[in-house]
Amino acid sequence: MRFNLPAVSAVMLMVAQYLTNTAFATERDIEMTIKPKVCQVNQAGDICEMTINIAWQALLPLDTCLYQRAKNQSQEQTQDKNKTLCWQNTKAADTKLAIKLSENTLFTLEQQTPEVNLVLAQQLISVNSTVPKNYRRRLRADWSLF
Amino acid sequence: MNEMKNYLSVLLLLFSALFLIPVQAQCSADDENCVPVNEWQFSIALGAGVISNPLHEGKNIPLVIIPSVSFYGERWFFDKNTLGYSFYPSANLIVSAISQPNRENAFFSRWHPSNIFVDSFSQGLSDFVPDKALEGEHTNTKVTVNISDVSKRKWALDGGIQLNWFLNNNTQVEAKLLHDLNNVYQGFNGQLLLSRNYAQHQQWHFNTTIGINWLSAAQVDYYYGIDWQDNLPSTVNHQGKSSFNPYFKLKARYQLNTQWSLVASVYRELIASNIRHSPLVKDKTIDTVFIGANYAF
Repeated sequence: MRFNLPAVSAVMLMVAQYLTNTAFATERDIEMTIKPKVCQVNQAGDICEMTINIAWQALLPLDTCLYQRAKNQSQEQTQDKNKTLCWQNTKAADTKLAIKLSENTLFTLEQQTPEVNLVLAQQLISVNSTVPKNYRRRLRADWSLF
Repeated sequence: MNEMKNYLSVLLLLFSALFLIPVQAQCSADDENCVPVNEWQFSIALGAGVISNPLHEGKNIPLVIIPSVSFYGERWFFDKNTLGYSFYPSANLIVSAISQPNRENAFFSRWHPSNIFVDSFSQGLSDFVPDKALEGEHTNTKVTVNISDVSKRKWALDGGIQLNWFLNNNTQVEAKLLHDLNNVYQGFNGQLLLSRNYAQHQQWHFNTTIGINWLSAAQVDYYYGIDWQDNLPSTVNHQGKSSFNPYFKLKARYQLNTQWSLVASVYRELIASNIRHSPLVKDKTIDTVFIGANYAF
């Protein structure tokens, strides 16, 4: 029995590459753009309503979801994330999405695996106000009784 | 006479200088002592705690849900039970006119379960007559009077001046001088406190406060005094005197995320002897403890 060595090698190489790529897509493999990146509101705290365009492209088909979470600008803290959109076995996407934001929001594209979600790409949408929010001193102790 | 004039002039100059400080509020979003202007703030604390009641037959006040509502405008503010107007809002000194309910009547609640089921405190009038002269703690025969045996005390609404002096971002001195607005006890009360915040690793926050509550003789006499209006034997009559109650407060908060935090607080107020001598008072302290979770909307 004779094997065509170059052909077998090529097939093995393709299988190995496929297995490697499907197991761990990395951030370098994904390009994602969300436009626009800034939403302008009149006063801080106002709700920003707009339609964004989300485009991403991967080397291989993936199960992915887009998550969004508000990002506190002052304390660099992020709140719990919300699942916004999902794609099954998709290699590229270009879609529009209507959103409502009240503060800076981080969008992350995450690969869904049974064990853990891998963050493939992320982008921040800033909510800027024309009139900056004013702050003043609190004059009673927080959650104080007397 | 000239010396007096000079002295007054210096005082006037100092006072004027104080009020000529540029009106620039140094407040930012990342300062936990600052709140956004023109926004309602709601929070609710759920947990377990109690405010001790120092009076005979007094019912301890349970703490399970502590709601908190506040709104700060440019000058007006409402924070929990206090309504105020800051007429001098500078960076380090804020002077406000405020109004808030007086605390004292909270201890005179009548619907204690012992009023209905237990007879441990209620007694005939003869029990009020002491064997010896009423000398409070000096004789071991201090006469006791239950809150259900005296005439009903009324809620008072106080109004007056509050001064907040911010020594730095974490330390402040607060002084209050109030008078009842609805003619209940017809007197003054005041408060002076020093409060300091400590933050560690952005998640742990601690606060310590020491202070002193001053109650005028009129207020002590209205709530803790006993006279002919209480329809008790004259031998138990008691006249209240001006009192200073020192206190301390410790608070801790662990911030879980932007909405949830775990909170705990301990408060102890030492009741002045002028109040403790009242036949209505059984404890030497007013204690408050609370532990729970706070959710900020």
